[in-house]
Amino acid sequence: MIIGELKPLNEIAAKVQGYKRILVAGCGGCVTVCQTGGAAQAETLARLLALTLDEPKTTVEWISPTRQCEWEFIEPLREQVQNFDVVLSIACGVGVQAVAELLAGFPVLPGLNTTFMGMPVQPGQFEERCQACGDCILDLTAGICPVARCSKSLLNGPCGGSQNGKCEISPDTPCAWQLIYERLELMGKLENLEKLVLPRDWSRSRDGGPRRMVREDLSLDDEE
Amino acid sequence: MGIYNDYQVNPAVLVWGNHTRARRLAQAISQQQPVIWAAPEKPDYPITEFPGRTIWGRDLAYLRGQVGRFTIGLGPTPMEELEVGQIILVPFPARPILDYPDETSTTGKNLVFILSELGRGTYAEALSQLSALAVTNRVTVITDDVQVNFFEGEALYTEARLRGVVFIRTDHPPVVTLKNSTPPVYEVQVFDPALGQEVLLTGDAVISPIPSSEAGGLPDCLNLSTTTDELLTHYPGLTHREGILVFPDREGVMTQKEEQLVIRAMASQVARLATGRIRTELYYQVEAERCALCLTCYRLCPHQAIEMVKDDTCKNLYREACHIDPLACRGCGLCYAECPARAITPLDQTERTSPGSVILACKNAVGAVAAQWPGPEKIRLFPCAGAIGLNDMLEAVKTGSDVYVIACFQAQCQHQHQNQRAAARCRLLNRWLARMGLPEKIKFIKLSAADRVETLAARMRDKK
Repeated sequence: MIIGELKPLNEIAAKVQGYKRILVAGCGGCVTVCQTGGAAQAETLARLLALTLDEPKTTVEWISPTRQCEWEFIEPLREQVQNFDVVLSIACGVGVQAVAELLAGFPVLPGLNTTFMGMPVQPGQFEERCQACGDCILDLTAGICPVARCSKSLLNGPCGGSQNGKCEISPDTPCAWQLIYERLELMGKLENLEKLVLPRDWSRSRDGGPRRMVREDLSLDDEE
Repeated sequence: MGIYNDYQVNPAVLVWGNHTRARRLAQAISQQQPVIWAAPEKPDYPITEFPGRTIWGRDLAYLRGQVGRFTIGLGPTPMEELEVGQIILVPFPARPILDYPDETSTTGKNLVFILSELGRGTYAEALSQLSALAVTNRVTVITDDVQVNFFEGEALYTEARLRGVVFIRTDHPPVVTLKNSTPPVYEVQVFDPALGQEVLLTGDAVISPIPSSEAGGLPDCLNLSTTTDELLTHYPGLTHREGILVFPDREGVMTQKEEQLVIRAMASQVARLATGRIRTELYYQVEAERCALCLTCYRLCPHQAIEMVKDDTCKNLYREACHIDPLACRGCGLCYAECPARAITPLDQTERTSPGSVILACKNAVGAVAAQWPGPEKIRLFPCAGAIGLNDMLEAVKTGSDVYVIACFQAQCQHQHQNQRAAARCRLLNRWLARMGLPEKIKFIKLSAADRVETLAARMRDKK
């Protein structure tokens, strides 16, 4: 799931300065699950903004489509924005861009910083798990991703900064390679660590430019 | 007032444990409703004429469902499933072990006792032991609560104090380190609230309780919170899960008369499902079409009253939604306050319509003060401080005046420390307001139902 965090409220307030009719748009997908961009948060943000921007000259309302990253769910926005000057989207960056593209020309502002792909490890705590590098090696590393969870994304770890199972960047960050070692030990496959992982093909990650995925059978592009 | 509904329930009760008191309890319940008496080990005393079903030699492997319709898996394989309406656990009573130094040979030593999370039986014993040791040694006691509610308890405590025993009462767990010296010296670091700072004690010996191996723990699959102390605060043995009860007195210091009383109280507690039907109030409901299946409520519910229900009537993306079990729900409203999709609505609107209120109060905390409050601030009541959501607070902030959020004291919350959650929300909102250049208007106040109007007025003045 995509995790996002609300932008500092003073930044948001500064961004919407000058607009009179503001529509806060939540998203019912990932950011609802991580409690930062759902309907309830859209309402909270709308209420907070209404407090600073002197009502009644400004109106702040909120909506929350099922998912902001798909045309079908945001299509109704075309109508809904008629009475507004600006959309403040608290979806992830994908949602903001989809809405901005749908309403081409209409101001759409981001209210959220999209931070990472992760999971709730316990209620209210989210941790990064994947970096979408495009070439999964989880089979070699006992299901623990060194690209996302090692601070240096080392493929042949650990490094000298691994102390007492923690990463040198912070005592709260477990060393991914320590976790990998422990898991491999549990599986009786410690010999995996002796294999050298060769430099990988980073062109499938962000280094190859924006990525695209096509499913031929679903895509309607004419080939013949 | 309120919406009520009738439900069919399974009247059967499972009594789990092989102590004689489990037998007496099962016997008492068998007079009013079906009972199954089971334990991992067969009792070592003869059982004759037990009127219900008995099962021996099985473990509790899993538990599904809710009060009135529990399904219990009995292991090990082959699994057997058992359907009951309620469960009573009767842990084997046993005292934790405290290894006291011999009072005749121990002299001139520094002794540190750590007496936390103890029942009164063990506490009474420890108090008399340390009092005797204090004659020839220096004794310090670190304790979460000075207990004197047993025979001659007050006198024992006074005696100990007279002999120079120092009591440090703290909720902070002490940190014990062993220094590498001969003879060994222990360093105990603990926060003393009376001094308002950390203190460092050195001791030749540290005496702290070790759980007895005989003591029957609570089966993991029931998902009960691990600190049994917390479980046993609600007499007679109610837990935070509706339909699961735990026999109090884990150290076995009850007299027979007291035990009879507890048995009667527990039997009458489970009797509410004895007819197989129950009428209960519905507090909150999930609107399935809005449910994002984020599991926030499922994970946070202090009573584990929420289940995921998959059926085609759920008109959301997943054809599956969270569902609040009406029998297991105790109506605290935490799910309502936390639901990010705003899919949970209160069914009883009477408490929710009070525009212009600036005192948002847990109704248990504010008690009778709510009715006596002279104003001018209006009070809006919530079933628990956990139900006071950010949006409710912001609604109150709109009035322009300070907003008071009233919660119970820690130990008094009936819904597992929701006062902490409310306090955290107040801090968060104040931080947000400050970020936007607005005054921090949310004031958090703790109150108890025993407090008077003047107390609330004074606490509100303090926060100004």
